[in-house]
Amino acid sequence: MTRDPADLAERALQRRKHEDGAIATPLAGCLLLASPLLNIFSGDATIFGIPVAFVYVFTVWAGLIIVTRALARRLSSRQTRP
Amino acid sequence: MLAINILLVVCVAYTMMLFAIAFLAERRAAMGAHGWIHSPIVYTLSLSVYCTGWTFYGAVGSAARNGLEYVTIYLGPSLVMFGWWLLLRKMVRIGRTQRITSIADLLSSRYGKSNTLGVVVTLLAVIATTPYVALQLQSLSLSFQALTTADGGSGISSAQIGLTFAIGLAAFAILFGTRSIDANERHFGVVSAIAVEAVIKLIALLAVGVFVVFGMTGGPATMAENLPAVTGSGEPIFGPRWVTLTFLSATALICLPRMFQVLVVENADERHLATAAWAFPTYLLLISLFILPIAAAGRGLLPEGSNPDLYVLTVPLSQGQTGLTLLSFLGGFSAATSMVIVSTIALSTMISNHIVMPIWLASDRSRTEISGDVRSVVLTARRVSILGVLGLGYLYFLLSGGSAALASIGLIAFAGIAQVLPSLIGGVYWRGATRAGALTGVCLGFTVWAYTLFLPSFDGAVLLSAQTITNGPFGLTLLRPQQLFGLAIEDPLVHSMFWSMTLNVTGFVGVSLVTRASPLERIQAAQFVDTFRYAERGPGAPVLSRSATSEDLFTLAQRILGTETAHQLFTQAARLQSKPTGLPEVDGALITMVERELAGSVGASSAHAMVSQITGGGQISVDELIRMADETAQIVEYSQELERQSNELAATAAELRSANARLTEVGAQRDAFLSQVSHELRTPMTSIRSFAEILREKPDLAQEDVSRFVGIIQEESQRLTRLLDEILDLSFLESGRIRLNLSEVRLADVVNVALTATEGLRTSGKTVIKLEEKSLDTVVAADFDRLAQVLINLVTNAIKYGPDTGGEIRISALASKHHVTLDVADNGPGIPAHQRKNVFEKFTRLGEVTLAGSAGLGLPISREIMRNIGGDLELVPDAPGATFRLTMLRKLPRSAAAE
Repeated sequence: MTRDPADLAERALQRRKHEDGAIATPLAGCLLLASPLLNIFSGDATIFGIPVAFVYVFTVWAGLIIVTRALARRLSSRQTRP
Repeated sequence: MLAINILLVVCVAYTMMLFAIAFLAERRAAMGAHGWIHSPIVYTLSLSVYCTGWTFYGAVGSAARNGLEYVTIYLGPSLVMFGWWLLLRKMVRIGRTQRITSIADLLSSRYGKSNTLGVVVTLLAVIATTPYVALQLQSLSLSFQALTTADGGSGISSAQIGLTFAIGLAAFAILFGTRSIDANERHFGVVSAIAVEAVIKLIALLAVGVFVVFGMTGGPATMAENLPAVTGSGEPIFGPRWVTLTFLSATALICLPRMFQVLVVENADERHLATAAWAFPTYLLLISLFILPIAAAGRGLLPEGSNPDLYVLTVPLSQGQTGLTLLSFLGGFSAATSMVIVSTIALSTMISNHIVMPIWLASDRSRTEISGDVRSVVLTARRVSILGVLGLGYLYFLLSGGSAALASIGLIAFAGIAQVLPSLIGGVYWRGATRAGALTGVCLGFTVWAYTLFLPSFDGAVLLSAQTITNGPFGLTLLRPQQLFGLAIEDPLVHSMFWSMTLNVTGFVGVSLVTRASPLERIQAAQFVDTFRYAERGPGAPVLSRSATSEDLFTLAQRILGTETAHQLFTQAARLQSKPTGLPEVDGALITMVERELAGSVGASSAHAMVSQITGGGQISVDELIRMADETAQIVEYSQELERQSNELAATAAELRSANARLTEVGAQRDAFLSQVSHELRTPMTSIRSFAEILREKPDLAQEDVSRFVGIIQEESQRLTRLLDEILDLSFLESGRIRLNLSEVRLADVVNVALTATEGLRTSGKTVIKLEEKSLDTVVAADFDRLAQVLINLVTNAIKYGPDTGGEIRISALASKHHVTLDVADNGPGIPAHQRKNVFEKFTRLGEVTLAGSAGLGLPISREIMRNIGGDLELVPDAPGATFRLTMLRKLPRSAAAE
């Protein structure tokens, strides 16, 4: 099957974006989970009785997992290309 | 409370189950039916050896004491997993291509297969891991006692429990960890058992957590009341300690021997990493989700002073949930046992490959040459190492058991093994990192860690006295272990990490910058840093060029890999070399391949040492070095490109100069030609004009004179016409626009025509013609009339310039394969040397002799004719008289024939 070169270029571009995303994700994780940003959420405030910091950390964590999963699927599905 | 018998039965049954699973997995793998053993889920679950008994019990304790801080222990690894594309993928690829067997092997292999580095990292790992193993034994015995002795004691001492566990674990590790030496050092049985334990751990914690939140009286509402009490009073969460803990736990995922074992060594497929990248953080998130609620519940429910580290057990126990407690106990049991098993296997590999094998090899150099199975040595070394590590751990547990020092050992161990990180990262990304740099960095970091964190953790019991810890050695306050150089950082962990990492990185980078890498180091550096590029290129990676006999190599491989594997390996190599039978040809690539396969079993440095013993040191060619050192290659390429360009420019300039010179010359020739032509034309014109003037001005001239003058005018104008014809002819010939009628011509015929045409001239001068009739009977490719013209010209010249009497012209031909040469020689005075090169110039006349009708164009025209028919006309040097040689083709040139 011959592919349209424009399509191939588009796919290469997409892949590059995914690779960049895979590098950006842990950096974003460091910024969100290991930086003074955390101190915005420390304090006595609660959501439904749960401390806000706890909610924040676990929400960001789950978010990063979802992003990594999406990127990993796209990257690994084409990892074996020649 | 639980009866000790029940607990023992559960423990034994559970252990039996693990053995059964490991056994089944090994059998399936041996039959080639990998199935679920090879799935990414099993890989992900096996990574959970990260969660040890310390994290299982201790995390709740930490949450009860320090609130949310425990999360960092799980966040660090998650962040590393999120960055799988950047670092882990590369590490796994390197691990696969270089057959890395352990973290020590990775560093030793990267830094020129240096065994010194391997030994240092191994020692560091043993020192950092032994207390950790002790911690697991302690958590096991603590949990055991918590369930059995809560109401007054069971009569079993913790030492006995610890010993029992240690023996059981050693049995498992030896049975499934050192079953065989695999070419790629994977333990399917162990991994499968670990995966099952991972599930038990998770289920246990989730079950306790769900029970605590939803099952207990009060439910979520009560929980919400208790939580803020645990999370603290609004102090900022983020700080140096938060960063340090996150960093340490992230480092631990990469550098801990057991983590490296499951992450890199046991990795069966690179794609599994893509799944683990999100699945393992999910696992960690689930593990840590209920820790805070459990801690809160423990704080709320249990009396003051109860050990928070055991809340996971004591909370359900206090609620009378026996089943749940048992499940929780199994969770902790799983966490502790899986950690100990994998750790001891990883350490035993390191010890046998980096300490035992080198000693064994060095003790008797002849050993590699004689036959015999090396594998039994390796296996025995590993089994003894496993016993040794567990024995050390048990000893440590006995000596410091129950002390507070042990509780904090987890983070201290992380900090110790983290000293490997700079050399690891540098080795994978930085080509310039050298062995000396790595050694300096690791040793410096390790020393600082031991001095500022590890030894002080014993509170003066080991090496450093309490006095020294508070006041510094010999009263030197500047060197106080926990306030080095007067830097007051409150948290000793942060303080130690700051100093050890700073000095480690500085030493590593600094020494790397001032030292030079050996050739082997450079090869390894290139293969590590550019691992993806070499993998794409296949066998393009640089190799040392060494030599050995294939028999020696085969014997060596056989002794380590076993006969069957070695046979397969060599057969395959021979096939790749298109040899249907026998051993493959030995070249650098084959030796490197064999060495790599051996490295999968005994580590890179031992394999290198063994192979080197039969091959000698090996050389690296300059070409390889240049190709490998890519930066150098690029620079060289760039300068070569520049050189090429400047050469091209120089060549172009030279061409332009010579073209210019030719143009100038041609211009000069044309000017000379024009002046010659006008001069030649002028002479007859002058005589024509003057005779015409005489005729016009003197009408009374005698009839006789008139007819004489008219005769001269006619003669001169004929000469003029002839001259103009010749010039025209020459210009046509020179520009190649002449139309030639090429055909096969018999030389004798042409010569006859020429002789007939010159008969008149000859008879007047009585010149004799001598023909070599026989040689002339040959056929050449030429234009008949033009060739005749040339011959007439030559014969005429020969007559003209020959001696006045007794002249003789000799005409002979000589045929070679493709050409025929025809010589026309006279016996005249010949051509003076200084005029020889001018004879073919236009308007050249020899001497001052000018004969009527000669404009000096005969020879140039003749030569142009000959060149146009694919031949040539030359003057034969050093011949008596003047000899002109015609060269002609025997056959028509193809293009001409095709026309």
